[in-house]
Amino acid sequence: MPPCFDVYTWIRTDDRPAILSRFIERYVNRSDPGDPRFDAFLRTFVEETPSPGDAEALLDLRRETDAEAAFSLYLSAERFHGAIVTLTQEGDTVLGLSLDDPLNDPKVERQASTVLAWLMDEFDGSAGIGGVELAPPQSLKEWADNGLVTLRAGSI
Amino acid sequence: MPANDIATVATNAGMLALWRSSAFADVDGYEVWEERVNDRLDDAIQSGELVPIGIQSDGAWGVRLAVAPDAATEREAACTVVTSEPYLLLADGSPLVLSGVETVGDPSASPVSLSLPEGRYAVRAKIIAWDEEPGARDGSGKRGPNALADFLVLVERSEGSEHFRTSDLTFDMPG
Repeated sequence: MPPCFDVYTWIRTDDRPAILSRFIERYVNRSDPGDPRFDAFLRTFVEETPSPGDAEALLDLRRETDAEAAFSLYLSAERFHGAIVTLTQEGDTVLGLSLDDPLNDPKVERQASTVLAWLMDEFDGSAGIGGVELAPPQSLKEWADNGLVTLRAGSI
Repeated sequence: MPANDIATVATNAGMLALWRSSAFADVDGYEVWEERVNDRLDDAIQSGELVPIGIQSDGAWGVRLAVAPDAATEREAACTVVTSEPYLLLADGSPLVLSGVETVGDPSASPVSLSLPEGRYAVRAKIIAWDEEPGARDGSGKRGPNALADFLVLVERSEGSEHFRTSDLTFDMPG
């Protein structure tokens, strides 16, 4: 898989279903979302009407089995290499987009900076980060400590 | 010149822009920005929707925006390195906004906006060598409180006879 430049914005919201719904509508390839647990995620966190078995399916998304709540869902995107939704340990939301960057091109970092600025604007994100092959932060600690971050904006 | 006339405007896209908000009112996300701004930058410049202050360098810059009869001060004139050819700016009474080109369409991301009466304006940008003035830096070598801006952007009514520049490179390279 070619390297990607990933950007993320941290969102605190009282209406997470609306934020997730808008992000999915705008950026996710809904006809081929790329992860079989997408429907369980939609039912649980967007429609808030989970079906039997959804909770178990989503448990598999946790990075560590003892993580209490945090997980990330990697999805196929429209116009981007990928879209990543993370629910953090603090109960906040991190939305991310991946840009193809096979040649480590400085132009891609500039484009990523613009994508990040608009992602923060669109979803009222309080902060943003970006970097090459940057894993989605699942906690405030991971957000602050990640040494691969090359773009930073705003604060949480 | 009071230092608070100088706004700090940042870009990560190598270009600042003075733009008419009504022309980009439909920009509400990256994809629309790409279509309305990035993919048609030349058209936007030519039609007077946007004036580029293209410096091909990222950073946060001090900019003073001067609308005629305001003009370059003696200090600014003495420190001017280069002045651009005029760019067309068509005002329709909606706010004119100065920001990094990457946030054209998002007035909330800009520290500077102004309104002008409807009409055709000529906009010229000047690069100011603020650090050539004695005392421009403070004791620690940083920009002092009375230092001039990096850029002076002059806006005046079009005379009707200008040849407007359309390049997204604001200043001709030396040589």
